[in-house]
Amino acid sequence: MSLVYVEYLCFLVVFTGLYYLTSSKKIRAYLLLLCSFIFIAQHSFFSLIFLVASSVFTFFIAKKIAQTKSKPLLWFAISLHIIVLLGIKYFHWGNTLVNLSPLHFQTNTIIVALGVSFYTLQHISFLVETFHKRIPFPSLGNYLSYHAFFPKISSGPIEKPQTFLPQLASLNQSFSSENFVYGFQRILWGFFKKMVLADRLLPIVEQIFGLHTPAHGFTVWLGICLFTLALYFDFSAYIDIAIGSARILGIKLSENFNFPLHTTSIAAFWRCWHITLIQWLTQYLYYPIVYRFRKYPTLAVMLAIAVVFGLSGVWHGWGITYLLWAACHIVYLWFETLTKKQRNTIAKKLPRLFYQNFSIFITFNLVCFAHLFFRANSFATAQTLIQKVFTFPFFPQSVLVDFIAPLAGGGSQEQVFNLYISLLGCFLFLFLEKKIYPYYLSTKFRFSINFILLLLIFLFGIFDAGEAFIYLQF
Amino acid sequence: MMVKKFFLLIIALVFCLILLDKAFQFFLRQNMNTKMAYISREELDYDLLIHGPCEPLWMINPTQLDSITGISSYNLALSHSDFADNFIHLYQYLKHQKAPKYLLLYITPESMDLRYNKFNTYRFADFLADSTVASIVEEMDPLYFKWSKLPFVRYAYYSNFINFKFVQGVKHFFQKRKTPYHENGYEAPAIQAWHYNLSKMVELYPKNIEFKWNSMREKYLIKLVKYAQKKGIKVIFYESPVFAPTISYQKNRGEFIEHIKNTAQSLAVDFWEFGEIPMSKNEENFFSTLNTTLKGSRIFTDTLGKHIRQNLLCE
Repeated sequence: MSLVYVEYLCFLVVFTGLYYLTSSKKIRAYLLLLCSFIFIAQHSFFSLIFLVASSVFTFFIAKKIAQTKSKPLLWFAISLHIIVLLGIKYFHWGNTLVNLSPLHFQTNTIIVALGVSFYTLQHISFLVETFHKRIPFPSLGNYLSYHAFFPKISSGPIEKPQTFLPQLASLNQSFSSENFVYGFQRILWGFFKKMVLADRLLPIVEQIFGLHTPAHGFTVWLGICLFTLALYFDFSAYIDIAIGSARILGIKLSENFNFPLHTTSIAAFWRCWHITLIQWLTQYLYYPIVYRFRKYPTLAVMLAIAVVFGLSGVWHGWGITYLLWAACHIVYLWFETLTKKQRNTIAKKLPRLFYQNFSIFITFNLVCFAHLFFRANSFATAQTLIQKVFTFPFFPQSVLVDFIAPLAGGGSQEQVFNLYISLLGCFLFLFLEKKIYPYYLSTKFRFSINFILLLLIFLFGIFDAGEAFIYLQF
Repeated sequence: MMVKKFFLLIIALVFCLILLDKAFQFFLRQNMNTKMAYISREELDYDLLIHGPCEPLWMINPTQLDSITGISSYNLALSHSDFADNFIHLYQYLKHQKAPKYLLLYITPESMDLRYNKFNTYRFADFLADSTVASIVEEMDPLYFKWSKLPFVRYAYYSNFINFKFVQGVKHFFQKRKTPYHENGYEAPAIQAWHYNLSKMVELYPKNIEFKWNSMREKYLIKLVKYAQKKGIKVIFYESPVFAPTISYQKNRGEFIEHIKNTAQSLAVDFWEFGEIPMSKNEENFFSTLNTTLKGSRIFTDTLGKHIRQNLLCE
């Protein structure tokens, strides 16, 4: 069984019990911090030490900034965070630090601090907000909890200090059955997405991106589209579990997804996909750039888009493929910015439903094309996949040999059966998601949906460890 | 109210899982294509059992073999299986069927290396009530074994490998099917839509690969041989043909063959080597280093049949 999940659930149940046993705000705050530290240390002790060190450093430097209003100190702290993030993620400083420290141990793997990409952005937010005196200065304990909060440490969402820190200051609320129901249902929703949808799709995607099998253009393209679906199910599932867990404890986390695969433009897509990252980039990069070059509005917007997505590419990974992924989105958004009027005119002339569905189709395919670079391990792989997509004949000649078998990882009845189950599940979910979600994810206990989801997890879920969280690498 | 509903949900779920557990248990036993179910249900009587992973499964056709040797044989091999997997199948066979005279067991350096083949727990989900099976499953897959005690989890855990067999079991039940699709256990190799060329086959072995002898594999090999010998079965090890150009890539293949020979000797078992017979040089006979095409399978079965006639039946 994916014991990651079972262990996590046990951990959550025990922690929730202890948390509500006491009504003291102070004890709860300590308990939250302690359990978060245990959770991180269980991943790696280095992650815990690194988080504590970076948080303590930021806390005291922010205190100094608040007192002195020193801009150079602010820039120094921000630069240091960026350099350390790049060093940890791309130059393997984690290994160097471990080798230098008493923690010294032999390892062949690259040591990356859990959640470093997420909390580095939170550190920067905190420094900026403190500089502008837009938030009350927290206690060190609360500041540590802000970063270490266990439901969100590994997958986000990236929380703004002004929304998260005040919640830590009011931890004395009593157990609420509404919060529990919402949290439970949100976690179940996440488990379903991860175990029944994402983990079933990822091996299919691996077949295509691993280039294990030769295939026609359409088959490769479907594999690329399935990666987008798998990434969405996987990432949003972790977010659901994080939001649900936090809600049980009475803490509201920010939403990170809002049906992004139903959007009608790339701009709209980015308002619904990894919302907290885009909001962060918008607030701290996009708006300042647009403001700085406000005399040339179109140029300012185009420059801001390029900077935001260029940095987003680097944030995700160090390599030409991530830059190409970012470049795709920059081009898409420039095109949308420059053709806004023309597209509005066309939209008015066409039937609304047709234009809407056509836009969803185009947006989805453009996003998938960019994801080709996002998922490809190297430029050569991306190149081969593109060549395959544009090689004629595009459509497979034999459905079983050229289409089903490459996706199923072979042509046996069992493999084909599993492929059909996976595809059917995903498309049904995408079709029904928008209808079920608002009804199900409320504070009311939905017995029948809970029962069906649990049954589907037991019948079709991948229990044997499953696939790793895709976004953990970022 | 909420607590009441929550407990009701858990009770309904547990009840449903118990029902599903029973349904899966019943219908998986009806699936005649599952060798564990087939050998447990139907009455079989063979002189020779062919055993091992996918190589013998796709390589030795008992019908062709019987026409050469004049004795009856059954192919008990299963794809991707290791010796622990093989042991349980042999145990299950002997529990329900008459013991054969001979057991022909596939063994190559790959058989002793953990990177090749594995223990396929899902095949035994239905047989955990048997203490011998349960103890092996516990040793080979402890995590699964721990969770398998919960209702239906023994099937849910590897649902990707179970669901189809369950559906097929339902079909076989309503069809009242008594025989599997591959009655003699042999599965003809699939026609390769994407032909592996020479370079691809060589690539399957990283340059200068070194095999690693695994003690767990050795333990179950010995266990299997001793169990068969206890039942009065003469065991023979055989090494199947290897696609010749790949041999130079395998640094310690020779050493391993020697090791296997010594093991065979210590167990008083004959070891037949077919590694480098003439068919090994022809690319058309292979679709991977050790797996033969239909053409290769026919040639090897013929060679093996003649060998059995000369060396086993003339004794």
